[in-house]
Amino acid sequence: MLEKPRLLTALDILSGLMVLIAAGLVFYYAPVEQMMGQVQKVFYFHVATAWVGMLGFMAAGVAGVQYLRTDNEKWDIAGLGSVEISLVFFMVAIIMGSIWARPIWNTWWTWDPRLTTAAIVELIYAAYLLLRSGLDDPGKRARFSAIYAIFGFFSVPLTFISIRLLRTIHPVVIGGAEAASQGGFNMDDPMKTAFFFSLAAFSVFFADLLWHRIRLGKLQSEVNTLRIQSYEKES
Amino acid sequence: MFSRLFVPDTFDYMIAGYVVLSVVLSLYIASISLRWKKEAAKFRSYKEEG
Repeated sequence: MLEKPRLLTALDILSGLMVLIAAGLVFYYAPVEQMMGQVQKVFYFHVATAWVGMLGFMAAGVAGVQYLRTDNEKWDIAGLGSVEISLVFFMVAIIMGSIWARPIWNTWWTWDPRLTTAAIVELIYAAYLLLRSGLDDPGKRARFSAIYAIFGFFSVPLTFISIRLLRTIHPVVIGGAEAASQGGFNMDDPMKTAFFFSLAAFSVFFADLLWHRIRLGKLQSEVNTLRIQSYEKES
Repeated sequence: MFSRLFVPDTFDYMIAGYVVLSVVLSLYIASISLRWKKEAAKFRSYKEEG
């Protein structure tokens, strides 16, 4: 139970190396964007953290479906872990975006459709944790959380497509018709390499953290069972 | 050459962005590690009792 699997140690090392290589590519390989200067380098990890956030929210939705199908606690633990990690990454993406926006848009924050929907997503999933903390019955908590995670996920694609459907100042760098017209930029090959490697590195990092978080969740569940058994013995 | 002269100096903002990323993710990793240690101690203690 307490012994760390060798594969997890290997994943720790792999994810750490990949994030370091990604940072190396961002700082030493990708060129400085001429219109924005050094702050544009925030873009690589800003998108990667937002991507991991969305990936985790999707994983929580899938875990929710699986929990409702199987009634197996492991899916509840996986859903909680996914949401917790994604909340952290999505918050980092929002803060990094705000720091990037300050010199480029001349404001820390604006109620633009992308920023607004991203803030709503963050609040929806923060409420997921509040909902869990308000329910004492483990079965009811797991069921409600699963349903909440499934419905909560509908807010995520809305954030993704908001900059493609609505009038916004947030650039569409990937798949946008004319990035420069929206305050964005066109990526050259070294930029694309740094960008896609960052996405891959953070995806592996997410998998690594999720494994750790699921192990923690299982241990917490085991400790809880032992606590109840100990209490029953005493009484 | 002309455009290079006018690249804005936004270095501090870049550093701020990466400091936020490093601090928040480090705190989260530390929180997982601390919670694991706490639960592992409880687990051992219940196992010894039982």
